[in-house]
Amino acid sequence: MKAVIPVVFLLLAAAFLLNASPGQADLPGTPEFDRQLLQVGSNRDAMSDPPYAIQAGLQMTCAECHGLFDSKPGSGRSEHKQHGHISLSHGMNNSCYGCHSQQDRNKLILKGDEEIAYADTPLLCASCHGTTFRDWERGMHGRTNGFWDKERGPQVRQTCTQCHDPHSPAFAPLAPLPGPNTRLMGEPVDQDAHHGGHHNPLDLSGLKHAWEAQNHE
Amino acid sequence: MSETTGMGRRSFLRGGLSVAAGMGAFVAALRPLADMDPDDVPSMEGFLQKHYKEMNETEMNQALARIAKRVEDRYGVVPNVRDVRSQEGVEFVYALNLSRCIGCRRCVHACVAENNQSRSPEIQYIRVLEMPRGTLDPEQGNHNYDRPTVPDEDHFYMPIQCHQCANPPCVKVCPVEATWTEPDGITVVDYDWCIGCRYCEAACPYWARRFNFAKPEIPAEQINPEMAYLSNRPRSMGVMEKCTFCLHRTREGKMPACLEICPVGARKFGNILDPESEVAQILRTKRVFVLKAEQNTLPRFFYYFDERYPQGGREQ
Repeated sequence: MKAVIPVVFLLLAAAFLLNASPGQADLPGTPEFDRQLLQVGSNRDAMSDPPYAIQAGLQMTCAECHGLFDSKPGSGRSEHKQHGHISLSHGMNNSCYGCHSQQDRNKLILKGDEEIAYADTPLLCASCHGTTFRDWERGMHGRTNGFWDKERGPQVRQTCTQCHDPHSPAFAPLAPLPGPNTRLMGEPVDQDAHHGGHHNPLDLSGLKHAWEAQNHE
Repeated sequence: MSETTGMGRRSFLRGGLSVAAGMGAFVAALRPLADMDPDDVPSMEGFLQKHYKEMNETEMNQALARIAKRVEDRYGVVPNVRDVRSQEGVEFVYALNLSRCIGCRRCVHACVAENNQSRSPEIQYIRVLEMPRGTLDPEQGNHNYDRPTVPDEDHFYMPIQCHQCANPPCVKVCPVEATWTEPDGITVVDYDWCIGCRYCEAACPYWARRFNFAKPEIPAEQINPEMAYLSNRPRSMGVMEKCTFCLHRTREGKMPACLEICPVGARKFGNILDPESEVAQILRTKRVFVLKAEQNTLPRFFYYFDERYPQGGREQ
């Protein structure tokens, strides 16, 4: 009977030796995604001041073009004209001359009477979005890049139109990057099958399934 | 005959079997060493390396040189490894605007790229929860959301990462003082002092600490060569790691990587001791809350809202 103990040890030793080194298991990693998405930059380019467009190979400012072909007040835009690509979705502010000066095409119009330069766009936005402008001035709204410590390097503030399209200011939806993929989390649950998309991050019941799947492949 | 030798056939076999079993078990126990990567074996100097706080300048420089050599051997990249110390008169605070976050997970992956986390097994410091509107209970959140585009109309998004607590439970439970809070408020880990007991992971109410269960794998071309001893130098199997507010960047005046990438400007970072800083103004004027305030962890990570959209949906 006493020989049982060494035999047990021998069997254990054999088992360890045969399967001693699990090595690096083939653990789930992060799916590939476009790494260009991790480049830091502004979301869109702000208009130059004065703004221009390239028409028939010529760089023309707004005023230069509109000096040649003036649009009658109230004629609106049509798909067949120059600005057909613009889709205006800015709430109640639904006419060109709400923001653009009708007299000087290189200027914007503030509250219907004061002409301001394109470089001062935030002032125009502020005439309606006052609280947001106040927050932006203090750095509480919008992007701040570069250095938090301005004594040690430059700080870059993004202006309104570097994030928002002024013609359609709601932030466009984005495709999300891949979600977490750790073994502990198990398989992602079907969001809609679970009541109300509820998923308990501390529920490790996925662990058992993941472990079994791993060892039965 | 048997009485004269004192050793019978039976007892000889039994003894021999025991010796063989013992030796077999010993060999089996040492078997994993055969698969050890030679560059995982610590040098004598590395083995005798002191705790971060006890190293003098010479010893620190030797430690940094050892780290640089290991990175070069393993990844073929010459890193710039530094020991970046905290500044006088600086206490870092993070503020996150829940009204703006759209759940795009850019921050999660910018963090991984900046901080040299393992890609397989995957280690990420930031977890973005998709929350049903009307609750702030993280248990209601789902981090596995997979939609063609975000945000979803019926949800808001709450990223969670290390809250850099002023009363950190993770620091209290560490049996070897391998983790502590720096003067600028960042809780750090000395990866060479950590014994991998994972007490801190269990103590953290924000699920902010990550453990290297296996040898970290990072593609050599994705290594970030700008490294600091206390933050993003490559880790080994069996140690804890966590968000350090990118201290190799922030202690040099820069913004953390998760903030830089945020396309909607939901993330704000700065020195709370400067009353004109963005974070100081947010804490003064916005509706701010901390997660799990009842735990008395005193986080330096704040969530806030904008006053807008009375319908709880999109602006009309």
